[in-house]
Amino acid sequence: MSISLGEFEQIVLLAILRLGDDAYGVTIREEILRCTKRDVAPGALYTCLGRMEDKGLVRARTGEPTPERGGRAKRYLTVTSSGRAALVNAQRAYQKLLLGLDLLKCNSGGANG
Amino acid sequence: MDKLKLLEATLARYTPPDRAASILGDLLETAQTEGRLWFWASFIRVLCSLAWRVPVAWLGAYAIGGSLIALLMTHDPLWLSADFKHVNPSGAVAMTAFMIVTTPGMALWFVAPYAALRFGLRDRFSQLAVALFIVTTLALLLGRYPAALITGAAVLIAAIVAALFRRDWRKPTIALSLAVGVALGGLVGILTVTERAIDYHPDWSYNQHRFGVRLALTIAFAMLAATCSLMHSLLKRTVRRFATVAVVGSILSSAAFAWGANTDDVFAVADVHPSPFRREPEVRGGTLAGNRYELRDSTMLGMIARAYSIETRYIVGGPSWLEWDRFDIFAKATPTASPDDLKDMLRGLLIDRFKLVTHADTKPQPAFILTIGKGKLQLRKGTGETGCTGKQLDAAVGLVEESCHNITMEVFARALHQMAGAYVTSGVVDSTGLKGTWDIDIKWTAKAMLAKAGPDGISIFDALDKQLGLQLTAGTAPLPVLVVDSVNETPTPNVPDLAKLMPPPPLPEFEVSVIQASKPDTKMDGDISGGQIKFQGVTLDLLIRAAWDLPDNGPMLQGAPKWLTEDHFDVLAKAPREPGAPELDEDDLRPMLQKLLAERFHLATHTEEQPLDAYNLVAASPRLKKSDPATRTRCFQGPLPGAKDPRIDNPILNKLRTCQGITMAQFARELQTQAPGYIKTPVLDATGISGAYDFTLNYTGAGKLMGGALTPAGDAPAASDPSGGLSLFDALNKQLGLKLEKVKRPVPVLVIDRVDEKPTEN
Repeated sequence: MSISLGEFEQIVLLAILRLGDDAYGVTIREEILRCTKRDVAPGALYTCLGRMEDKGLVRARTGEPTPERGGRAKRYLTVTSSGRAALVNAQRAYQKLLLGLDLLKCNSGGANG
Repeated sequence: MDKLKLLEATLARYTPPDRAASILGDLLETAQTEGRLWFWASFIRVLCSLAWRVPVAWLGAYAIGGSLIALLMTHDPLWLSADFKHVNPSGAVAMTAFMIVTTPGMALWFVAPYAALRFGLRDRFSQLAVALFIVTTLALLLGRYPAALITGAAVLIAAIVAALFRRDWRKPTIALSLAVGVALGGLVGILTVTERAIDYHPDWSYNQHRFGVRLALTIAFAMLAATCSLMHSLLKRTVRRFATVAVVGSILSSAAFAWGANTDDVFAVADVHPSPFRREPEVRGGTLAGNRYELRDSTMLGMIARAYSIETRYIVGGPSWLEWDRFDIFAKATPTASPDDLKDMLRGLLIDRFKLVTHADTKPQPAFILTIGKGKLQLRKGTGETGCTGKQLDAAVGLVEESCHNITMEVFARALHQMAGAYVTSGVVDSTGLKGTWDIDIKWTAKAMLAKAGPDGISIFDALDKQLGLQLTAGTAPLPVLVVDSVNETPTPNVPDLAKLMPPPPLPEFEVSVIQASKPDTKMDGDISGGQIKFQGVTLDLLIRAAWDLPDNGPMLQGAPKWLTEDHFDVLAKAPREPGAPELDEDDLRPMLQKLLAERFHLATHTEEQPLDAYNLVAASPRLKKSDPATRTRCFQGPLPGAKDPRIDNPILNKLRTCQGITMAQFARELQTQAPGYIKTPVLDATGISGAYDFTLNYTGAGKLMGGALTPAGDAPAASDPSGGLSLFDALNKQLGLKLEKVKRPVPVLVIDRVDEKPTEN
């Protein structure tokens, strides 16, 4: 049974995928801000990451400690296969809903002109 | 501790330590560009996001667990009824199942909601807790049916065993078992410590006690929540560390539970002894004043009825002395104990000190049966709030109305005994077969007024028939009874340091005490009751006799000057009353009156044995019927139920004493208490007759015997009355073949050493 994802979970997973090997709390927040102009509250992000880790959608590995982090290690996150599957499912659903609406074209047209 | 380490430790309370470290690292890294203010604001927001479940879990668990506990308290008969709470040999399997379900069940009422809200329902620990919570709660709520309990216990055990066999469920199962064990052990332990602390601080006010108990419950609950969190966090730890905590937790919780369970449902300390001789024994007390519980002059039957919330007529079996011997119980209890707690404690005391063994059973008993009558059923479907209200419509003709709303026929049947006890003299069994709830209005005439009401009067039986279409008939029905299997006549000894653990309460002083000479011709009146002593025109002789509970005249008071029976006084002495405490009774007031007389009349007395004329009960030509060994010893005024009352045909023989299962020694004592007009000194049994007997004794009361047959001292046998009256002495001889023989023997008497004729000023 595939796991259904909320909108915020999809955004976080996409950000992790975009960041590749450099996905940890700070960079994920920055990536989301850059792409969506949405300043995510750290609390919401860490709760979401913890929940997805517990569900097995993402996996963590410990990085190296750095002085600017008070000697604390980074936790790099990667999307697991089940996380990827859940994300693909969710995106396919969006695609199906968008099919025939030509919404993206209209919106971009509107914005341009 | 370093400030950052403290912050990391704080986060680590709500998320795994490696996540806590990385979150703090991320915040520190971002704070390099965003600043300190951002760091602190973000830290607080992260903490709130991670920890919000804790207060919610606390409140939710407290609300759900508390509601279920409240349900348990208010719906006690549902599953903790007196007949079930105590071991029923025939229901040993159900009893074991009950214990298996109850023990984890009550802890799960708090643990399951806490775990579900704190860790979420995806968590295995929570899932298991909720599943077991559902099983145990359902079994307990349906606990009246043994099959439900047995099924619940079987499902519980099967679920735990199955979970232990599955590798991915093993750790959560052990963790949950430990959390429940520690929760139970801790709860019992903390409550025991609190109760003991309260017991040793009798000076604490009611509010201080209540605060103490609430504080203890809150601490216990905090401990329970902490235990759940700890056990849950161990799920991610190594097997070795988990096992260490499991073993230590098991030992601690078992020890706390065992220690606390020993003191559950019992008085902290109790003084139990046979009641001292009282001329008119009557049960008193049974309530709590501060932390002192007192029950005086209660028969074993009365104590069992009180402890098991059952009418005496539904207590069967037991030894013959069950209604005869009387006991006093003085005990220490938690001041906040509810009446139900006190019943539990009394029950525990009877089991512990008298080795009482009972079991529940069903036996045919006299009962009224409620059925559908031959006429048309006139009932309305139930609406509104459930309950019954009664009112007197016309006091002159005794017309009574009872209105019941939304009640079942079973409840209405049970209520009939209370509503119209004069007609419905025993329990009512509903055999109408009517389901659902009903609105019922019924009017009838009180039995005492039925003759006076004439044709307008209507009995409850006719009212039920004509107004509702129901029929109430007397018969027998199988009803639940409590069978007394065995009980000791002598309680186990009190603890040696009883006086230290439970010192007698200080003798209260009268708030008001006025003693003055009566006006001439003041008629003697008054009594000792309602927390006060109030007499008019009373002699000091009578006051002294009242203070020492001596017969109103006779030789039990010696050394009295002549004026003691000539000077008259008005006395008013009011005892203080604590708010919420019962009024002081005769037993409390007598020593206070003794002290008052010593202060105001400088009365000094001592007790000694003096040779006096007294009676021995001897056998002349006994005509006594041996009683059935199963008969309970008792004596009462009036005929046996269903027997003809000889006083109706011969009113001059106005006293009819019926005794059953009584020995001659008991009867001798009974004579002194029940015929004070004839007997002023203790009677001894010298019949040489053993065994117990049934008989009635019909005689004329001393006051009614014409011609002043008694001597002024009241200690000589009276001649029989010329108008047909029969003295006690003659009745004993003629009806039972027994004789009261006057002998001189040492009798304990109260001797006045000194007394002033005039009291000191008020």
